[in-house]
This record gives sequence, structure tokens and C-alpha cells, in this order.
Amino acid sequence: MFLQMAWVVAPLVSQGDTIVPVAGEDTLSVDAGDTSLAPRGALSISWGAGQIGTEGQGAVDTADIVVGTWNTIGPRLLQDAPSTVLEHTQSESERVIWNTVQRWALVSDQDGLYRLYDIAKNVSFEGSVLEDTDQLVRIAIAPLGRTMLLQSKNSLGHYQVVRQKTAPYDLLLQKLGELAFTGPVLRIGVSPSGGHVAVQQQNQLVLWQLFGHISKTIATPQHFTRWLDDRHIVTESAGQRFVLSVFDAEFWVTPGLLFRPQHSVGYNEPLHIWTGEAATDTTTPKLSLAPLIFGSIKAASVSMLFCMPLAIGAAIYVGFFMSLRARNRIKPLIEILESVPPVVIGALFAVTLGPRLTSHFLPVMGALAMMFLGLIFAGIFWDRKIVRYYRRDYFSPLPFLLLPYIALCMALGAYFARWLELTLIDGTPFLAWIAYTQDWQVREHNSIIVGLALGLAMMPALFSLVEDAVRSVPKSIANASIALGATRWQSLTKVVFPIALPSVISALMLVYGRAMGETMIVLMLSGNTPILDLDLTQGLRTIAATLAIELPEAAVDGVHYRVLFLAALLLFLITLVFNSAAEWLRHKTRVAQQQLD
Amino acid sequence: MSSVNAVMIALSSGMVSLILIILVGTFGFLFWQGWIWIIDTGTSPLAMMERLKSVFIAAEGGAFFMPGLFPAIIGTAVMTLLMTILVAPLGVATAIYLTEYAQNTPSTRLTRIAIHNLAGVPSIVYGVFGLGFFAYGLGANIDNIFFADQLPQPTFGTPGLLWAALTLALLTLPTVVVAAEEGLLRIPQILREGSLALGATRYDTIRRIVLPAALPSVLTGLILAIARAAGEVAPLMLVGAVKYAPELPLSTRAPFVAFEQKFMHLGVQVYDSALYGNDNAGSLGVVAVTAVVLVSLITLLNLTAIVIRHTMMRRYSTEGEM
Repeated sequence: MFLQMAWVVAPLVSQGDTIVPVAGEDTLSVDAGDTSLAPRGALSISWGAGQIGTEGQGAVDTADIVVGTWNTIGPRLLQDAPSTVLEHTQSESERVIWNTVQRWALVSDQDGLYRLYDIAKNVSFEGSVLEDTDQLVRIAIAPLGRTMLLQSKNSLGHYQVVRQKTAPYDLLLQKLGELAFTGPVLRIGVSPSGGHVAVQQQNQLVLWQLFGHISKTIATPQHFTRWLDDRHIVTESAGQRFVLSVFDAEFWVTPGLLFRPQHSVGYNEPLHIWTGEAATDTTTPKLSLAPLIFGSIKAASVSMLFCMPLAIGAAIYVGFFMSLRARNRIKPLIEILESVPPVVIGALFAVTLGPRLTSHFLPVMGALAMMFLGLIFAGIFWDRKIVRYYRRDYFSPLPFLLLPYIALCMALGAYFARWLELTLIDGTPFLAWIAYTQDWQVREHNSIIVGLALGLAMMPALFSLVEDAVRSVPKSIANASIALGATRWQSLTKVVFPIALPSVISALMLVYGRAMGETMIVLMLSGNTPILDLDLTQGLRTIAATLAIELPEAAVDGVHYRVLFLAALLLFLITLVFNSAAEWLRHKTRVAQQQLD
Repeated sequence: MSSVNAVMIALSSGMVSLILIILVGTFGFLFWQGWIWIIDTGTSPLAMMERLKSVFIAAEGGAFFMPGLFPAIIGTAVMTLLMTILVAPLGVATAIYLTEYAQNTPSTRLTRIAIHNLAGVPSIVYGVFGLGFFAYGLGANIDNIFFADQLPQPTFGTPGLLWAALTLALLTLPTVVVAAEEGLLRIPQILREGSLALGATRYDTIRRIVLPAALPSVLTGLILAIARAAGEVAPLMLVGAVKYAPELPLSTRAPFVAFEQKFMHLGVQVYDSALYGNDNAGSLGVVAVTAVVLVSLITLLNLTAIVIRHTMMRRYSTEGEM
């Protein structure tokens, strides 16, 4: 039921819909370029005594096609304006479609071949010749941008003209999709906004949505006449005219539209794009959920990268090495971190820590590196005491004893890194220097900052769960292995941790699911750019953040609103899978551990 | 070999130290920034009072108008109180049913699994549900029936205080149920049996023996729920919390609470001042002060819960082993 709500499938026509007699013309209106709108100085095109304007189409008689500059108000080219004649035409061409804003003309010759011209350069592109095209329907303008429909035997080709993104900037004629049909076509009509096409056949009317090329067939004895507006068509049957309401939504959405790359108007290739609500009437919304799902996964994964070593390292230490008494003291202390709400962590990173981490990148890295080096040194020096004389509890106070030492190491590392910066690159912040010399810019909103903040927010929960898992392994097992001569670390890695591993994995899944659903941190730090890119210096956009941003502003019961609900359902299902798997695993482990006892 | 062991031990111990540093750093940084901002205009008590007053009544936040923390605190309190009133009976009743009455049937197990899974549902999903089901679903129907005369203008058919409280009640329900259930299970069976042996009915036993004994754990659950609710921002942004509400969600007439009104919330305030406070130095102070208030509130609640839980555990730990 929910799915049905979400996939917006229009029930379309009710046959006996309101019968409104429609007066006036019933021919398909073909608008040749609106000359009154042509800006001064715009390129225009004309032939013989024919039409003139910035964009349109028409039938060409035997005269030349002239390209010139629009200089006057009124449908006339100035004599002194520079004008050229398209090279090949000369009484052979039959039809022309042109767009002087994008500076191209599509000209057909006697054989029905269409050739694409760059009218600024007066060159045609051999690669862009259309065959098997016998009849041009019309250019569909807003909101699909400059696309056109060209009719061939069994289909309508939906084409666009784009420029190459690189050097010669040649024009490309690209097929966005095909509206296929079988059998003879009686009438074709494009809706006023250019978003839909009605194809009338013998006993059926096929409605096509150009965005995503989705069709819907209506068996009807009535005959399509014309579009009344974007949602209603005028049909005729036995001398009576009807107005049918054909859409109950702005547009149709299919799973393919939501999850597969779409070749959108103005883009050179099929892409996954999420724009949410269409910004203007001239663009269609692009609702690919793929970048959002990817963003959620990316944010959660990067956060795990930061969260796992910290939380698991600390958890095995507190759970295995510390005495119960010390653990009972330190665990609530760490769990206090859980009471820092994500929004505060997000705010801290957004206002100060984020910018400072980028400007002090090298010192921070230096501090971290020096901390690890210092710890390794400490381990080497304390070798014997720690590993052999385990009867005395060296471990419980160790983290506190290490505190000043670690702080010292970090300070040293930071100072050393800053000193390197000062001597080697004149005190320029490292990332700024990299951006300047290597042309490699780290954005202010990048995935690493998101992961760091998110990892910090998830850390107490993961720590708590893993610590429980390690602690719940019976002490007798560890003692047995130590009695047999294993060192403490061997006992941990070879005996205790493998037993606790399922619980640890379940904890990881639980926390991963939670990270995917976390909203505020991602909302504040990620820049909310819906891109499908593994690059960690790029921003991202998660499902949760999208919901928080767009749902309050989405029109209730609109397509966007429902797609957002679908996204929420997806998020719910994803976390449900993670939670259920974690719960199942935890249950299995508990049963197994009861047998162990 | 043993040196590798020691290095690994040192590293894992270092992680504990690092977490402690992060802990101290986070809290220290927040309080320090807040303090700096307060003493910014002068260290005399009077100047500091002025500064504090300006945060709580109407803060200056750079180029943007900041409505002050006072209405946000009131909004948070009213919403949380309403949520507690809604979630407490439901959560406790569920826990009592599950522990005292329900047999161990598949449906009971399913209920338990569902409650555990609810705890893992992202809060934003609750927000989406609250918006779609409560505000635009229930609320729109209420409008159709009771407020038809004002209709193009929605009364309950839009995000508001009641829907926010209901949404958060759903969100915190698992916390309350699990905590209350834990507490009920911890009550020794012998107490119940004694009561029943003396002729009390099952209901009387639960009301007079079990529930009073389990009260601390129920309270713990509620406090944890309140702490969680106070820190949630994402769902509230969908179901009724706004950056600036012209009126407090209180009224002088009968229900004394304006259920349909939008309200301000501390968490939303933090989000807003962090994101839209342009002036970096000034806004950081406001963010810090707001965050300190919020974090202190939540930490206090959590600590209370920990203390109650601790005393409770001690009270029943001996009896439990009888």
C-alpha cells in the first residue's frame, strides 16, 4: 500500500469525465519562433520570404537559408548585418529546425536526411546525420529544454543538441530516448510545456512522458484532438468534444527513473542526478535516489574508519585489561560523551573544528603520528613489566598515567609539523600550499570531516557495546590460556576476542545502521552535494539530510513529497536489516556463550 | 614477540587515554568558549549578568536576529513534559504487560523484537512518520471535523507542539519500555508470590508491590527518554520546531498549552546559530552558550539516571540472589 502511494502511478482517464464543449481550432498548433521575443543582436535565421526568429521550425522552399544578426525590432534582417548562407542548402532542403541561442540548425534534404549545422561557424557535423527520418514533429521547448521529436517509421526519436565539454566544442546530436509505437499513427500532440506527448492510434491513445520516456496506454474510442493545458486533453468522438484529465500528478515516476542513470536534457551522458524540487519551470526535477543512498553509505563507512580503531581499541583495553572496579569507574565517564547530542558535535565542527582542521592539517597529522610513535615507544620500554608481572594490576591506572605522556607527544608532534611548515613552505598551511602548487583543492565540506564528526558521535555507543561483548567472555577461559603460558595479548587475540567476535560484529552493524540514519552532523558538515563520487575530498548528501532539508518544503502529496517518503522507507528498511541482523547475531552468540559457561 | 604484545597493549591503552582527552577537550572547549563569550564585554559581575541576559532574552548573533534562549528553553521543557506525559503510561503499561501478563508466545516475542528494532530506527524516520501521519494525516482530519470554519488555514493539520511531542513519544517508547521491563524483571519473584499468598489479586500485587518497587527503574527509563528527546533535533525540524516562534507555546486559558502552535527548541537553536550566524567570533559564543545549556541539561539528566539505577541495583542485588 505504501509502495503504491510512493510509485506515483496515475489512474488517468475516467471515461465519462466532465464533458466540456471546446470551441476553436482543433489543429495541432505549430509555433514557429516567436519573433517578438528575439533579443537584439541575437543570431537569427531566415529563408526566402519565410520566417525569422531565434528558435523554431518550418518548411523551406527553394530559397537559401540565411543566418544573420537580429538588429531591428520586427521580422526583418538588416541588409548591412553580417549574414551567411548555409553551404549545402541551395534548393535541396525541405525542412529546417533551428535554435539561434544554441546556434544550430537541423536541415533536411530531399532524401529526408537531417544534417546538423553549427550556424555560427557554418559547418555541418557529419557524425550528426539522422537517417530513416521522414517527418519532423516539432521542437519541444520548456520545461525540457531544447529537445525535439523526430518521427521515423515506428517511433518518435527524442533528440537534443549539446556542445562537447572539451576543446573543439562541436555540436552533438544525441538521442535521449525513443517513443516506440506499432501501427499507424493518426495524430501526435505535444503538451504546451513540452513535457508530454500524446500519440493517437487506431483504438488507443498513448501518453508519453518525455522525462524518463514513460508511457501509458489508454484504450479509447475517442480521438485525441489537442492539448488543453498540461494536464488535460481535448478528445473528439462522434462530433462531440470532451476534456479529459489525464494526469493526477506533475509527472510519473518509475523505479527506473529513481535508480537508473537518466540522460537528462542538457547533459552529455546518462547520469545519476538528484535535484529534489525543480528550481524553475524550465528544468525537470531529477530524482535519482542512487547518490543519496551512496552518500549515506559513504558517510557511515568513513565514520567507521575513524570510530573503529578508537572505540574497539579502547573497549578491548577496558574490557579485558582493566579490573572490574576501574572499569566501573571509567565506563560511565566515557558514556557521558554520549550525552553530547549530535547537533552540538556538528555545530562544533561546523563553526570551529572543521575550518581549523583544514588550516592546521599538518600539525594535527603530526600530533596523531607522534602519538602513535610515542605509544609504540612506551610499549617497547615497558615491555617486561607489563607483559610478565601480570599479578599486579598495572593496567587499570595505565591510561591515566599515559595521559600527560600522550599530551606531550601530541604537542611535540604538532610543534614539529608546524616547524616543518615554517621552514619548508614559509608557514603556509599545508593544504593551502598543496592547493596552490599541486592544484588539488580540498573543499570546505568534505567527507573526511563528516566521517570524523560522525565517528566521534558514534564512538561512545560502539565502545560501550564492544566493551560489554569483551567483558561478557568468561574470565575462566582467559585465565586458562594464561595458565598455559599465553601472554595477555595472545590470550586476548587468540582466545577472548574470537569468542567475542560475533558480538563485536553485531555491535558494528548496529552502530553502522545508526550512523546511516544520523542526520544533524551530516546536514551541517557535508555540504549536501548529491554526487556519486568515491573521492573523500568531495562532499556528500545522505538520505537523512535530504529528508531534513527538503521534506518541510515539499508540496504535500506532490511527487517530490512521495519520493521523499520512499527515501525514508528505504532508510528505514536499510537500518531495519542492519538492526535485525545485529539482533539475530547477538541472540546466537548469547546462546553459544551460555553453553560455554 | 612479547614486545609486540606490549606495543599493542600500549596502543589500546592509548586509545582509552585519547578518548579521555576527547572527553575533556569537548566539554572543556564548550565551556571555555562560552566563558570567553560571557566575559567578552567585561569581567565585572554586572557586565557578565548583562551578557548572560542578552543570551537568554534576546541574543545578539552577528548580522542575524537571535531570539534568545529563554523561549527555546521553555519550548524544550513544554514539549518534553508533554512527551513524558504521553510516553510514560504507554511505555510502563507495555512493560507491565510484557513481564507480568504475557505468556512466552510467538506474538510476545515478535512484540519484543519490534520494540528492540524501533530503538534502532533513525530519528529522522520518526520525523517523517510524524509529519505524514500525525500532522498531515490525523491533524488534517481533526481540522476537517473541528476547525472546518478556519479551513484553508490549518490548525492542527500542520506541524506543531502536540505532533512533536507525539513523535518524540514514539521515538523514546523503546527506551522506556526496555528500562521499565528490566526493572520489573529485577523484582524478585518471591515478593510477588508473597503478596499473592496473602490473598492479593494479581492486579493488586502489581499496583502495590511490583510497581512501587520498580519505580526507580521506570524513572530511570523516563529520564533517559527525556535526555534523548532533549538532544533530538532532526525529527523536530520536520514536526514543529522552528527557528523563531513569536509566542511561547503556553496560554492563560483552559489547557494552558497551545498544542497546535509551533515552538522553539534548544537543539534547533544550536543548529541555527551554528549554520546561519555569519559573524564567526560572535556566533561561536552563542553556539557555545546554547550548547553548554543543552549539554548540561542532558548530562544532568543522564547522571541522575545513572545514580538512580546505581542505588536501585544496590537495593535489590542481595534480594535478587535469594
